[in-house]
Amino acid sequence: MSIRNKAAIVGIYEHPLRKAPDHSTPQLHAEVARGALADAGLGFADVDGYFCAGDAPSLMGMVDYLGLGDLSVMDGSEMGGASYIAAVDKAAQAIALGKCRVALVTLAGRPRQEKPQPRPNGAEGGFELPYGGSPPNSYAMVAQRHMHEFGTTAEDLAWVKVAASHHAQWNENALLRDVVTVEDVLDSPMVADPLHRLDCCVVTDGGGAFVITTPEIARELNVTPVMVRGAAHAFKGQMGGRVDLTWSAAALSGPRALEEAGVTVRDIKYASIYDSFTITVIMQLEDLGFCEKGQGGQFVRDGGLISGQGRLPWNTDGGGLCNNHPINRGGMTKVIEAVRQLRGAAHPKVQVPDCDLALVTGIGGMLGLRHSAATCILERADA
Amino acid sequence: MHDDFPAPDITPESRPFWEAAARGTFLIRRCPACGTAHFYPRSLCPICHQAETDWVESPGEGEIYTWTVMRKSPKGPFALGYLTLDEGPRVYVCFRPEDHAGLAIGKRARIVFDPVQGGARMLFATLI
Repeated sequence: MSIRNKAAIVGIYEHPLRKAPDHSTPQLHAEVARGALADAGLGFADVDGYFCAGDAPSLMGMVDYLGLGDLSVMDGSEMGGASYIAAVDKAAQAIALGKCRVALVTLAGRPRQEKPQPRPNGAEGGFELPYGGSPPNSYAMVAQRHMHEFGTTAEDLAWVKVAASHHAQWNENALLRDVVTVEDVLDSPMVADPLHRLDCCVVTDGGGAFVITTPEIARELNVTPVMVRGAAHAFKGQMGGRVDLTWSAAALSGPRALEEAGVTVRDIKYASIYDSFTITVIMQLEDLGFCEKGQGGQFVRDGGLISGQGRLPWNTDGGGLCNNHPINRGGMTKVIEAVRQLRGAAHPKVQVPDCDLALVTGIGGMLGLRHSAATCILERADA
Repeated sequence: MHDDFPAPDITPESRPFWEAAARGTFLIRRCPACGTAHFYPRSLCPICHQAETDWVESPGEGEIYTWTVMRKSPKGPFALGYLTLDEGPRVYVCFRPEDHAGLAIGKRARIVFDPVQGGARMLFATLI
C-alpha cells in the first residue's frame, strides 16, 4: 500500500519571532497550532491526530495544554530535525488508513533563552558524552572527510551560504538578511575545522506547524491543497565501527520517497534541503541524486542554488543558514517553504514559476555519529 | 590530565572496558561467530547478531579517518575525530591537545587512557 495522493497539506504557519524571551514553549506550540489551523480554515475541534517531537515538553503535556479532544492518533517520536518530515510520512499513513482525518504537527522552542537539554545516555554515552561534542564538530568531521575524498573546497561550502543569503534578503522575518560573499564566509571565524561561523545555521526561538488531512476534506477548504506523493525515513549510525562518513541516510530515504511518488529528481522544480550546515546540503544533493557522489561542490558553485539563476531553486526562505532554524531543528520550515512554493505564495523575488513538484528533506541528530533522514515529495493538487 | 572532561558513565555492560582502561589496557569486542571486531563495545554483535561477543585486547593503533578542532568552546579548543583501528573498527576519539597542529587524515595514532575529572580514565588518542 502506498500513501501516494492519500493525504494533503492544507495549513501552514511559521512563527514570525526569532527571539522569544517572553513566551513559554507550550505557548509557542499553541500559537503555531492556531496559525496553521486558521490558514487551513479549520479549528482545534477538527483535529483527531497530533504529532510533535522532542522539542515539546512532552507529548501528553502538549495534548493536554492544547485542549485537544478525542484524538485517535498521537505520536511524539524524536528524530531531531527530521522529525517533521517523518511526521508528514506518518500522518499521511494514518490518514490513508483511515485512522484519523485531520492531523496537526507542531514544533516550537526557545534555544536562545534556555540551555540545551543533555543528550540521553545510551550504551554509547560513556564513550561519547565526556568529550562534549556538539553539532558543529560532528558535521565538521564529515566535511573534513568529504574534502579529503572528493576535493571539495571551503569555497564550495561557502557557495551554499551565499545562495541562502541571496534568498533571505527578501524575507522580512529572516534572522540574517545581509547578502554575503564567498570571501565573507571564509573570513568568518573558524568554529570547527573546516567549518567557519557562516557555514553554520542560525539558532532561533519560535516554531512552526502544518495540518494534513484527507483529499476529500482538502477539496472543501478554501486553500490550494498540497498532495503528499511519497515519503520515507531512514537511519544511519556508526555501524559497529564501520561508519562511512561519505554518505548520509538521505541516500536511503530519498530513493524510497521518489519511487513511491513515481518521479525522479529531474522532475523536481523546487528543493527544500535541510541546511544545518553547508556540508549537510552538499552531502544530500549527492545522496538524493541531484549530482554524482563527490560532485556536490561543483553543483553549488557559482550560485547553483540561487532561485532564478542556478541549477536548482533551493531554500528560498533563506533556510536554516539565514532565516530560521527553530529550536535547532529545521525540518518544519522546510515543509512550510515548500508548501508556499507549491501554492505560488513564496516571495515574488524567489518564487519558482509554475512550481508543481517539490522535494523536502530533514536530517536529525549528529551526521558524524548517528542521524535520521526523512524525505517527502509534495505536489500542487491541480498539477 | 583533562580537568574539563567529566568521567564516563559506566554501565554493567561496559564495566570490564573501564576496569581494563584503569590499568591502561584497551579492550574491544570480537564476535566468535563472524570474527568481526566492533566499537563501541556491546554484547550483541552489531554486524551478524549471531553470538554473544568476547572481550579481546587491542594495541589501539590505527590511522586517522577524520578530525576537527573545535575552536568555540568554554574549555578551550579540543579535537575530535575517528581513528580506524588496525583491527577494522573506527573509534570516535578526542585527540590530545599537543597533537592539534599535526592532525591529518591518514596519520598514525593510538589510543591512550588519560585521567579526567575525579581521576577516572577516558580514552583519548595521540599521534605516533
